[in-house]
Amino acid sequence: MFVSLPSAKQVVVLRIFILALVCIVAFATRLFSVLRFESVIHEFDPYFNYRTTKFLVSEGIYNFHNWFDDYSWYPLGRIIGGTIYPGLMLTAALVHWALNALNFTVNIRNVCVLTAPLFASNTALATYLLGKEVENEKTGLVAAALIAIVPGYISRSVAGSYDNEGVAIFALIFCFFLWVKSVKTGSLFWSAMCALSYFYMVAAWGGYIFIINLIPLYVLVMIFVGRYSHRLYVAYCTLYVLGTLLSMQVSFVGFQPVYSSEHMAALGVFVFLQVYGGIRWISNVLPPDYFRALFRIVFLTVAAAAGVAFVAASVTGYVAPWTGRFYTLLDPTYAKAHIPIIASVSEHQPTTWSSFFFDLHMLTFMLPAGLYYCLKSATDGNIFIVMYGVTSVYFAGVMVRLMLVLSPAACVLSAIAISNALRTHMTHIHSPPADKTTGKKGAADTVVPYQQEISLAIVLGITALLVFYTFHCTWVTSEAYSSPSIVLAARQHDGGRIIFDDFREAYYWLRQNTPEDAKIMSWWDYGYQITAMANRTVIVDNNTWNNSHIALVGMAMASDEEISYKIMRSLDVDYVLVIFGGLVGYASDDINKFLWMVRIAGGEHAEIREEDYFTPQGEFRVDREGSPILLNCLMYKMCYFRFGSILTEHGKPTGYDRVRNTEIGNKDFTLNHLEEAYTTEHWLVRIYKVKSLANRG
Amino acid sequence: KVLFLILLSLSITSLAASFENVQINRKVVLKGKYVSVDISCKLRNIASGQKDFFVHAIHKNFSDNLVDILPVSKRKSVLKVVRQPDSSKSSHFIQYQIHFDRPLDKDESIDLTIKELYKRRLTPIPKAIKLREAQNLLFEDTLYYPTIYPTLMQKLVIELPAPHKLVKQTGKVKAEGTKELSYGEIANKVFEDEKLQIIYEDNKPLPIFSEVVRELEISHWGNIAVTESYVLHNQAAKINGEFSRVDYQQIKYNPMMNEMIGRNIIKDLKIKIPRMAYGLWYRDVIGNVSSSHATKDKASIYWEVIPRFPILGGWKDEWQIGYNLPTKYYLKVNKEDNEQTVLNTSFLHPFTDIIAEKYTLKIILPSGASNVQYTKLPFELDNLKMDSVSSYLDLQARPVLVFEKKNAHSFHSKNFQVIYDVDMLTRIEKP
Repeated sequence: MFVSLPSAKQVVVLRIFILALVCIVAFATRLFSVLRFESVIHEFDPYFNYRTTKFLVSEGIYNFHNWFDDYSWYPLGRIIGGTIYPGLMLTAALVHWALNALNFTVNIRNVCVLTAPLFASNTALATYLLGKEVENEKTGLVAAALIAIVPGYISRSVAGSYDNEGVAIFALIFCFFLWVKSVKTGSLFWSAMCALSYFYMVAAWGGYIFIINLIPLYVLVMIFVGRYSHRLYVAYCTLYVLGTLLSMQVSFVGFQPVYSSEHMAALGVFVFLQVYGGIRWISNVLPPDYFRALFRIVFLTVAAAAGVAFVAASVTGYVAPWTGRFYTLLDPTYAKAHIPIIASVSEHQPTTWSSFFFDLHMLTFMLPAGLYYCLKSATDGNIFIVMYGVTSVYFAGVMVRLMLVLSPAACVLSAIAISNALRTHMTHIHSPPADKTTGKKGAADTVVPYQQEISLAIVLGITALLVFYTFHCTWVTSEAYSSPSIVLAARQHDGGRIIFDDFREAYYWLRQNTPEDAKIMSWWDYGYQITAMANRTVIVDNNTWNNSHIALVGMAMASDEEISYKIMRSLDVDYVLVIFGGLVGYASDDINKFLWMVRIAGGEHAEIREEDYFTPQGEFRVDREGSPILLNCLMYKMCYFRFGSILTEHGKPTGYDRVRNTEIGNKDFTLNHLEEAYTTEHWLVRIYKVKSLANRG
Repeated sequence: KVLFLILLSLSITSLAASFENVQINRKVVLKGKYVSVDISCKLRNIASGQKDFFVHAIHKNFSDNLVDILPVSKRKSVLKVVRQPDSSKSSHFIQYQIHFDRPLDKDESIDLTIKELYKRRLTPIPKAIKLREAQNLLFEDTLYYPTIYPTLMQKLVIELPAPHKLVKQTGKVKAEGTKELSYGEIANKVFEDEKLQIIYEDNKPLPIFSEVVRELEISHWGNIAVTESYVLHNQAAKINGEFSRVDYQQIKYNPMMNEMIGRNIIKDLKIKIPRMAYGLWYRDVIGNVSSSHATKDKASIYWEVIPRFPILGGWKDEWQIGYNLPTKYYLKVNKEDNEQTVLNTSFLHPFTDIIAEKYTLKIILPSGASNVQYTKLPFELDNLKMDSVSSYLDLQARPVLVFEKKNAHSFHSKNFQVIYDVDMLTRIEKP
């Protein structure tokens, strides 16, 4: 078939074919969880996104925008429209509406589940474009193939992982592609397109801050290395002005682009660019001596004035201070010291070396090679991708979650390395060394002995790496990233699979058998899931905007029953929900998270002191040696209520906790103000009802 | 005018006294999930002429609980029941006309059996019990047979689950067996509103569906997709205090010793679906429910539907189940008229032994189906309408036949046919 086509057309057909394959692979590799479990939303945040999407689909855009959600943060509530990035929900709803308009009845849950894989395919295409823009089509193809299966990105985009990042990475890459394109062409059209895709990114994810800081940084670097051009000027000014105006349309962002510190760099560079352009123009007009004198005076005054203005604005609070998460990015130890609530989230932890390899595999060492190739023949596009790579490596090192941002950079840079290496060595294999001695320019080429053999070895080596990479990615995807975490699976002794569906059992019980206005207290991790699946009001949820409210819940969990009861009465709590893994050995349960509750509560309430929950030796133990305050606090009692009479493992005493591998210390106690309302089959979720006050008299 | 009034009053009295109940044997069965009353009666026409129907009375207190009246004549034919239009006039009763299969002559007598089925007539007392406590149920009825006619002889027997444990009862019991209470023969009595109360121990769960929707979507590509959604309530005694998992799971580890625990809990439901069914699924609004089993034999698939959580008294659960049926066993194309297709299906859902208070059967026909008919069902429907729905890239909406029936129960588990025409062209265009 290809034979009959002219070779240029063959290449095009082949390219389209490869891209189609890449898209299919990107989509299909993310479906492990759907096939193995079911089409279900994963984790925590996606449940909130799913719930809001359902609301958007059923109530329409205006009601969605004005939605005051009284099911979360009781008694405060939450204005959903103004506190979310609506890009994801709008995207899913549009897909849903479009399909249903064609009478293709797909329900919104399936649309949400498959949004991330769909956008992974789009990301592969965007990466192809970016690679093509930075280097050439071949690099683009390699980059697309790499990103289709890179675990660092899959971790956030498997089917069911319905989160902002799923669409935002596409927006990010697409925006970068358009940016490189607009810098290369200096065209208003491409810059405007770039601003539009930036707008989509702003609507989709808070990570847009990365773009609005990286691009100004790139502009600065370009100026300092002497690559300033009118193309750069046009591209940046258009993007900044249009992008900022557009981003202010997202109500969650609002006026932040003009007063928050995160956006100041972009504004500064914008101003600087005008000044720089102006100075260049003046220097062309004036004789050098005059210019130098003028420059010195004006520059010093302006710099001083700007500095004073910025300090004044910061002090008076006109420019908002940097948020905690942002500080964490600049100083990884900041959160641990100051904001336990940010530090308590596992995805905000610094990344370990092993997880770099786990998420990127051979890209970890292909990336520097790519940097080398880029810097060897620097172009505008290359420099951008180098800066993207370097900054994202730093951010990925600080916060494990940002591995996601690094992955595309690593893919593009590795693709540059791989395609360059392959191209060089493939030609060496094909053309015998004899040709080289006579032909072309290179005396250097001829010096190398065994050219062909070495090239062959390198090509084979890269092929082997790529094969290993594929196996590694598939293995990681299937083993690590495809578990919905709402349904747990374990292997039995006989090899059969046992399913723990306790979370849904409990949430569905709440939905069916509690009053509709019941208020549920749980640790904030489960808030989104409760509102989405149980359809009940929660006290705190995963949108951790109000530290003191969470601290109050932490205090209720960490105090003894009498004090807790007062707190719970004041919060109108009807049911309390705890996650307990001691029976089946589920390690991320509330007892293991308990120290964070204590820490967060301790930050606001002086009565709760972290030391009280440790043994004098400084250990956190739940057995007889454990601190008496721990053994009598509400969380302990709710988790271990009547657990003391249960035999969990052969040859162990009753009340043996299979997570902490110890016999619990306080077995025999009763609850006065709470009663067990429901415990799931494997005890993973325990729900207690808060009794109303006893009748007087 | 005076004459007219006299005539009118005469006619009323003559209606009231147009029959007499020669012998009434009333048996109240409390063994099952619901209360059923079997009345065998001998009726005599004492009016001056032929009669087409007689009036059967249901006490007002229980009229809301009434599910169905099924009168059967000696010749085993089901008789027609019509609610008397002016029945609100009577102080005690809601009246129904039961039409004979042939007119009854003067002084002729007839033997009939009338089966009444009631829902929600067993109330737990006390309303809430502990997990290990026994459940007592309260049953109320009238001591005498409710009727507008004079009764010559009547007998009442109450059948309890054996061995029965009676807690309390009002009324003079003549004989008390291991499984029944007999109230002896009472002669020559006009109806008197005297209450009968029985409280007895019975630990069964009391399930009832408040709503069931069954949907059959026919595709001429070889598949009938069945989707059924249920809302199940357990009317048994609520739990007093905590639901302790420790206590509850002892049933599993030591079923003999701990049969006292939670006996009024619905743990699973067993249904039977056609053997040819495939692709079974069971889910609710938040996802798959993984706890169920199905086994197969030559005739049927036995499906054990286990809810996510045990349904205690006062609790409820909602779920959907579904499966596919191959069309070759259920769709027949008329040999003479190739365009006519006949669908054979059961009217009722497979949980036949549980009453569905609001039952809807939707049959979604292929797009372009016309001339829709169905064979007559041996009972009245509450509502029947045509609707339409579009799905799966339809260009033309699909007609939907919607049957609605209040209080559907095992009696309505009847097969019937839906007949419709689809011309060959539309069949090719979109099956």
